[in-house]
Amino acid sequence: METQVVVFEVANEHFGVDIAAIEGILNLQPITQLPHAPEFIEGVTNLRGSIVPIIDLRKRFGLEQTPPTRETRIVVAFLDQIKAGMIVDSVARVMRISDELIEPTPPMVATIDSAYIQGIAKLDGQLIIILDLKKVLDRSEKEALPKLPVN
Amino acid sequence: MENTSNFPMFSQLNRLSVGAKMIIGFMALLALLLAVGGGTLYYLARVDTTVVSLASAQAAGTPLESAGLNSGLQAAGDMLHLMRKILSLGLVVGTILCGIMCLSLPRWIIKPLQQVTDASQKVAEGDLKSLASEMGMLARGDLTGQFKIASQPLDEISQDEIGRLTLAFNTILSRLKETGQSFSRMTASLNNVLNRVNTDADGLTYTSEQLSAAAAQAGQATTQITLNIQQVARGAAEQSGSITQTNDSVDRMTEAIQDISRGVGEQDAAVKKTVSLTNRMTTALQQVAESAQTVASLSKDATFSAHSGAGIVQETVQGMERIRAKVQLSTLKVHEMGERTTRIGDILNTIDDISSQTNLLALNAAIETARAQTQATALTEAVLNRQMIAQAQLINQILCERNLNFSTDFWSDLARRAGLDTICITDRDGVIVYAEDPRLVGWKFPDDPKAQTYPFMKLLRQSDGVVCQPSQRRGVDNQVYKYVGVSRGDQPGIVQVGFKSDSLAQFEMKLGGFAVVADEVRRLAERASEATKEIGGLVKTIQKAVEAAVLAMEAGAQEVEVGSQRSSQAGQALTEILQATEEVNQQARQTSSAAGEMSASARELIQAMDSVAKVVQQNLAAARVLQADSAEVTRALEEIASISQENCAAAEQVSASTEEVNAEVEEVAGSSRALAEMAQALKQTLAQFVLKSDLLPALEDPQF
Repeated sequence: METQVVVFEVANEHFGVDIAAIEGILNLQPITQLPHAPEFIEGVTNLRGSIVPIIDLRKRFGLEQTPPTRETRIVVAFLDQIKAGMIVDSVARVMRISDELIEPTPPMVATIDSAYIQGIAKLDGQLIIILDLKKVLDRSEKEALPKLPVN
Repeated sequence: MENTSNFPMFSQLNRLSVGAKMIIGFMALLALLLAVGGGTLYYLARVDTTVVSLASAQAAGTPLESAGLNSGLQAAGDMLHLMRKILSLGLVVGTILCGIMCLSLPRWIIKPLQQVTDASQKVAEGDLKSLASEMGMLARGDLTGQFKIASQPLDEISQDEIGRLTLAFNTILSRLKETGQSFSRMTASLNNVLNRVNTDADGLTYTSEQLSAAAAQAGQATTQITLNIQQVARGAAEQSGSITQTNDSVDRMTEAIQDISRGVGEQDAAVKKTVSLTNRMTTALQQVAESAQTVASLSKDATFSAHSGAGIVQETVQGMERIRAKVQLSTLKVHEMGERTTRIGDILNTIDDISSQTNLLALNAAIETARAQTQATALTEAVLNRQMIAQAQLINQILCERNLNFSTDFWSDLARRAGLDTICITDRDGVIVYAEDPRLVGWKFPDDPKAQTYPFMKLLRQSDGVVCQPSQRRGVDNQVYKYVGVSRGDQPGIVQVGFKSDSLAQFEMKLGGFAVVADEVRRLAERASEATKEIGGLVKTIQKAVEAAVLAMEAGAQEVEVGSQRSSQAGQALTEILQATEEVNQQARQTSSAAGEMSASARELIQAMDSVAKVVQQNLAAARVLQADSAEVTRALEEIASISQENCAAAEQVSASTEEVNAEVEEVAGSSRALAEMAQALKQTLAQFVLKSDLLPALEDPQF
């Protein structure tokens, strides 16, 4: 069996997300900041008429903040039934990865902070970190997300 | 003491002591007592004798009358009478004596004592008290007090103890008076001394102030002197310096004279040299005249060359002008090119945007395709499951038909006709009893939760259960199969139908083509993006090159300008050369004639030089005399210099001495200041005493 993943880059690292969880990819568009929103939420944006909360993955992964570029994209995906947009540095492509190439996270790496890493795919000369989007947000964060219409 | 004189009879008594006086009194009393007592006793004894003789006469029977009674009684009566007289007299005399004694005791003893006591009291309360207060005043520093003894000495009353007491008292009093006088003298002399000290202190203050002022003046004066002397010293030094300078000047003068002497010598030599040079010059001038003629002929050639050069320069200037026009045109074109490349850059940006958008669309298309694929697969699975459940239920119905022969051929035939790959039916223990393949018969479903068949085991316990399993490797031979099972209808057991993975492919919805197209579009977009980036890079390079070209063109235009200007200048220069050549030609001619004139002048010069040489010789002699004189002047000046140096040294010595004097004066000034301060302090101390100026002459009083 094989998995189709969307590969994107954050801070020069390649991350893969199961395509089934992805709703679509957008260019960076204006983000409206919400008052009193949790820190991990950048704001909300209008996605074809529906309001979607936006999460900055750099902030989420505890990486250095950088200004957006021409390549910056918003990956709209379902984070465990909640539709949200993730700001990524760039989106590379859609690819099929054979399940045999995906290795589970080494236990040493699997700390609480890296619980959302599902596995690491070893391709020719590059590693792709497969994310488990259901675990990117913890329970309290999911509850904190504004209750917005979810398709 | 006056009452004493009223009793002259006591004058002898007064010499006696009080004890003696009392003894005399008591002796008088005792004598009286003895006289009275003796008389009385004598007469008592006679009375007694008389009485005894009367008594013995009575006893002897002698009549009393015979025995002289009457005379005896008469005698006894006389005796008693006499006794009475004596006693009465003694009593009267004793009473008088006692009265005299009682009266005289206070007069003789108590009164003098009282007098002494009173006098002492007076001394104590009057004189001694005033002495004490005077002493107190003195102790406080008040010298105005005066002490005099008011009490008078007592009169001598008697020679006895009281008299001596009086004497002693008088002595004390006289000593006290002396003390008082001494005290007065002391205060007077102290006063006097203090007044003098005061006056002296005033004088001292005044004097020390004067001294201080004088010292200050002296200090100023010495400072002035020092300054003056220093000036003198400086003056002397300057003089010395001036003399040295003068000396130097004279030396220099001497040197100058020597130089002059030397110069005159050189002059002499120079005059001689000049004469010879002038001779040579004359020869040279002739040569010049010849050369000038050659120059004139050469300058004609130069004029011709310059004419042709001017023509060439003119052509060059025109050429330069044409180049400039061309360069300007080129610059314009290059500018245009630059603008166009900028527009190309804009267009490329648009293309890049489009390719980026296309890329995004392709990505989204791929995602959509993937999702559609997932949904299609799910749909296929659902449809297939329903179909397979129906087939399994039909097989259940067939199993209820008792009259059928359930051979392996039957099941294989059925499976082929139903389009199934496999049919398995188990008994109540999960052992396959019927199957389309005889190899499967007898295979028992393992009771292992990990086994592929395990989900179907629950059908053994259900009457109408259904289990759908996605395709996976089956337990019996590890081949990929999709199975659906239902509970067996006629008895407990499982009815399973299945498809091989190969057979399943016929049901799948193939959407992969779309995904491939999307991926290709995405790749194309990426390539377009890369290409636009490359072109962008190229355009930037071109823009840079154009900018460089523009700059180079402008620089070239400037160079052409400069070249054009220089050509014009060259043309001008040639014209000037032409003119100059003309002038040279003229000058050469003039030079030729001038050289001839100069030759004549040179000869005259030689003659003049000879007369100069004579004068120079005279100068030389005069300079030698001058040199000798200046040596003498130098010697005199050196003497003066040595004297002035001595002066200078002396002045410095004086200056040093003056400075010493100054220091001493300052010391005196300091001392006088200290003295003034001391006098002031003394006066302050004196102010604590209250002085009395009228006591001053008392010192001369002979009384003291």
